[in-house]
Amino acid sequence: MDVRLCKLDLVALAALVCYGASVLPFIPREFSNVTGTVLCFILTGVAGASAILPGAANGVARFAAIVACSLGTGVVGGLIINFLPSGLVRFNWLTYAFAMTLIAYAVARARGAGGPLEWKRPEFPTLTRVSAAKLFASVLVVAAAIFISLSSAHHGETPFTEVWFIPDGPEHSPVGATGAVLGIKSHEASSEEFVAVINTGLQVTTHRVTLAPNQVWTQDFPVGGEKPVANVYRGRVADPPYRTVWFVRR
Amino acid sequence: MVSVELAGPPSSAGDIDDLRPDGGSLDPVQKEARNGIPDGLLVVATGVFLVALAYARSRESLSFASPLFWTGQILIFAFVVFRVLNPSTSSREREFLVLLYAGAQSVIRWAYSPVMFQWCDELQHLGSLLNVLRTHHLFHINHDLPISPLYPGMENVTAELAQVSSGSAFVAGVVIASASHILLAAAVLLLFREVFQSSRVACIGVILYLLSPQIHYFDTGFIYENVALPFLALSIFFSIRVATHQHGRYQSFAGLLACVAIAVMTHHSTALATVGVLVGIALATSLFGSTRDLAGPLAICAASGAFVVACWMIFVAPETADYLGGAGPQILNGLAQLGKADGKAALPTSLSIPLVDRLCNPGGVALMLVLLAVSVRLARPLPPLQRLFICMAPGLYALMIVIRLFVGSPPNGEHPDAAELAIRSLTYFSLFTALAVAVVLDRLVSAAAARHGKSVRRSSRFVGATTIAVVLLLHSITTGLPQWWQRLPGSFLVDGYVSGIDNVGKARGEWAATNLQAGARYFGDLTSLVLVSSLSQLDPISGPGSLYDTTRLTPEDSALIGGLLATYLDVDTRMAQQAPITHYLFKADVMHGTRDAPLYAASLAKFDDLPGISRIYDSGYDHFYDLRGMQDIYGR
Repeated sequence: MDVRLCKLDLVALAALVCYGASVLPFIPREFSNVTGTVLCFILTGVAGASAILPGAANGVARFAAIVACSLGTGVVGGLIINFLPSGLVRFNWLTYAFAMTLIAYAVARARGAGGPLEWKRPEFPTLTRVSAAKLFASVLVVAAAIFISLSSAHHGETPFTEVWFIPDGPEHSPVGATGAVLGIKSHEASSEEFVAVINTGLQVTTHRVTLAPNQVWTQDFPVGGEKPVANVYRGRVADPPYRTVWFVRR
Repeated sequence: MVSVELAGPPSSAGDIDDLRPDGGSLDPVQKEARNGIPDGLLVVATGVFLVALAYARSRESLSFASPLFWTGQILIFAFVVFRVLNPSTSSREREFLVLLYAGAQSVIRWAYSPVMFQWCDELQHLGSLLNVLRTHHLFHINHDLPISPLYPGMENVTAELAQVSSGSAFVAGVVIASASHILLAAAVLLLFREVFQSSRVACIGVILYLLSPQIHYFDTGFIYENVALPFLALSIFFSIRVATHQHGRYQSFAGLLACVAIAVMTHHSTALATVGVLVGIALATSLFGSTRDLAGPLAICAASGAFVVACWMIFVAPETADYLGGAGPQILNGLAQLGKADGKAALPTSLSIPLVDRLCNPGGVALMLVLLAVSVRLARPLPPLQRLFICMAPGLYALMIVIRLFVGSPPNGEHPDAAELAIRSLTYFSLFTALAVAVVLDRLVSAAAARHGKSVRRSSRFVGATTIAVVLLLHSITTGLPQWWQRLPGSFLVDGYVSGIDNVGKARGEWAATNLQAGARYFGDLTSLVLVSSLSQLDPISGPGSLYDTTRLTPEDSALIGGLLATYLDVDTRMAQQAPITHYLFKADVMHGTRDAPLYAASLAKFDDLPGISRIYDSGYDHFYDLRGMQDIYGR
């Protein structure tokens, strides 16, 4: 039997390679993330589109078919792998996408999709220097737009610090609590020193904490009495406190 | 397996548009193809940059933000429209520009809030997505949008991307939303090309469809309607192929069923709209002798689509009836209050509405009415199916106006109101109105092209057609979201929808997710309801009564706390510093949209002194109270 390779076979081969690279534990995660994304969102779409459009098709039709298959496979796939006990996890997604790609490939192959595989140099569109310069400038301008969007995103944000005093226990109920967690998270513009004065109802303790932006500090305390209170000061102890939290035990 | 056989790529410029309506061919000079794709990329990139720069300057309260925004928007759109209208533009370039414009809309949408979801609807869906990522299973309860987990299509595919790429939920959501929006443009292009057999009319139609007020901005976000809409367009596309093509009819029918199934797994309203549009087209075709032979196949498609949708809604999402059931009584209530329009567009604010909004909002409607009237006149010599699509447009646009004018707003300020319903209906009606207006613009330009000897008159017609399209762009921006007072991102506005979401609120939600028990009920303002319940799994209470309005706790409010088994109380102290620009502080507000002043500071400070109350969280701007120790409420 004369079996000829066609372009579509490369899709199946790529799917196999991507699947292997995505699930094998010794492959670096950064690489397997890329291969997994290619498998689930490009190869699945290309194979599905080839099964739907085995013949020649307009560019928009093929593009729509690829994206629709890619999205549609994910939409339906969630419902299918939800039946598995492990549910929607990375391995299940990869296996599902690999299976769907192979099924779509088989259908497309049976329908005669994909031209013969010919080993020749790929043809790139010819670009004049002016056109190339315009393309390069476009990329630069979009990159600049992305940069200024990200760099300005946090402008004008309010500097502040979160303080919480949460009773322990399964429902965190303050009534009858015997222990609590005091937490501080700094959203200030720079490193700040905080002084936490905690009256647990059993004793009064003082803690000095220096936190960088987005750094969190937590401490467990046994509590007693009627109303454990925590006052947090910024820099030095001076009224009024920067933050005050409490809970009522009875 | 679905199979569609579509025309191969065009070999030269113009292709199917080279023939004028009178059968003559265009001048060879006009046929000369010029590859304008690099030009298009550069111009669109520049426009996107200008808009992103406008957003950045607005965040930093710098000048010239507004002129930069409008310049960028008009630059992108005018260039794309001009090139699409131009007969010398090749089909391939035209179609590329249409998809490029959809991509530009997505980038602009992202640039508005580039590091976190800020729109209420996006946050609600983020809640569902986080539940999937947390539990690895679907159908987990979403307190703020209970219907969302029953339509998990968007969350499925976003969770897939987030898990296989190890990306954040935000990045995965933006990528999926952007891909869906570009797919929408491609799907509508396929549909319009199928109906009109003309690349130029189809491309103009898609550009105009992308101006639909809801599509232009809202539906480019992380919202389930965004992912479902392309499958609505593809469903109609397949239905028309079923009705008009003998060859491959069964494959097209299978494609229809697949698209309807994906739509209904993703969004309830879009699924119902799909069936509604199919029924509407089938009915319309049955009315005219020239299209009556299409009515049978289209009716079968509509019935099959309805069956798929009904199966999902009955067996998987039976709560849909309750969720959407409120719309009927609301419309009846609105008709009873004939002419009392007080929707979002008439939102009373203390700020003066800009001139461009005052002009373009009603002006765009007037222009659309004129264009639709002309389109009906132009439709006479067209083939039956094209004529049908165009003739449906004025009726649907009139229906939208009726909804806008006559449907009232719920008295408690809860959505949807008349303006929202009208704009949402345009998302579906624009499939017809955009095509009708495209015919008018195409005819304007075709007439110009036919008079190639009079270059001045020809260029003036080109400019005229482009100007009409730009006016429709201005109408779209001024009619849709975001509202004019938050068109550019800026400073925090208490309970100001997207302007009310900031890092203080986000931190509060993330803290609640980590530290509080899921399912606990809490009181909060509008922003808190969306943000905290989405990021954590707390159950929001939309109606706090007068809890925040009095300087001492009333017996009624005590009874409310106890009756609703509220565990927590969220107090954003900025409610005592700013008046809400929307005139609402709470989802079900006892003041019914009449809040012109901030709350009294004493009304919020009273919570610190209530016996038994615990202040368990303090960010300086926000206090979270535990109510379980309060006397006379929980029996202590």
